[in-house]
Amino acid sequence: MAWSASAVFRAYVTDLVQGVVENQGATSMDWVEVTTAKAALYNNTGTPDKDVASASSAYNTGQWVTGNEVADGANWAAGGVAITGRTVTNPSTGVIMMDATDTPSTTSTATLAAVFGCLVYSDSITTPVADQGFCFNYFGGTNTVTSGTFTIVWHANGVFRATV
Amino acid sequence: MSKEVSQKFKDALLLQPPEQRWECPNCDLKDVTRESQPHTRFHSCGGLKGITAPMVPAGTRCEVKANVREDYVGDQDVHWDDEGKPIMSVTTTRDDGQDCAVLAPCAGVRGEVQ
Repeated sequence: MAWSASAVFRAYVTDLVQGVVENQGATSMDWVEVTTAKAALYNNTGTPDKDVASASSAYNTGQWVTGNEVADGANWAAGGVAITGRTVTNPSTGVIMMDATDTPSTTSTATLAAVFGCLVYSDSITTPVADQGFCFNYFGGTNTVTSGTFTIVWHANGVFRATV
Repeated sequence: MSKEVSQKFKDALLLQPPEQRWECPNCDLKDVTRESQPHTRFHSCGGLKGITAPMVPAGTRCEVKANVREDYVGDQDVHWDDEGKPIMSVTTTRDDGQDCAVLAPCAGVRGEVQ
């Protein structure tokens, strides 16, 4: 199986509306207030599914197990790199945009191969589901870095967005 | 050194971060930054048809290339160049390695009222 698209987890939106997750503390899935959100990189082995339950949208669960992850020690650690500069804005009618600063590798000596996409998740939430996912972003093919810098350049429309 | 001069040094000694000169091998843009942390300067590159691309340290021998998306676009919110091609990444190939900047699509949620 394989990647095919980027998507927001249905369970994330459901949990937000139902108040299962909150905006701070141990149950935080607040895009801005969460202490740490991370981007973990993945190969093309898994099949990301936006409709999985919360427990299968988390880092190291379901399709997001470490066996499918691409990492490189301290350069791009297992578990991912922190996403900083997170914002929520309303750039146009009906749009809620969740954006962030571009995410570079920790060093300029990373070596990563066959990177197809990333899982964006809260590294702060511990209950009811630890490390629950916000969304996943499919890069569109295989990507490689050799003794260099790997950077996720987020779209001008954000990491993820909602349109009502 | 007098006590006054010594005190002025203690009060005012502030080192500026080192200057980093940047250039783009695909367009004429040049820039200078002063940041203490490792960083990359990105720009909208006319030579790569408007795609967001990294600049390189001035004098670096390299090739900077835009890579077209390898999969269907469908309804995905991807990065497009000025010629309407969906761009997946920009790679910088140096003598001693290769950098990669992936242009991540935006993940979306769409609401409906019926």
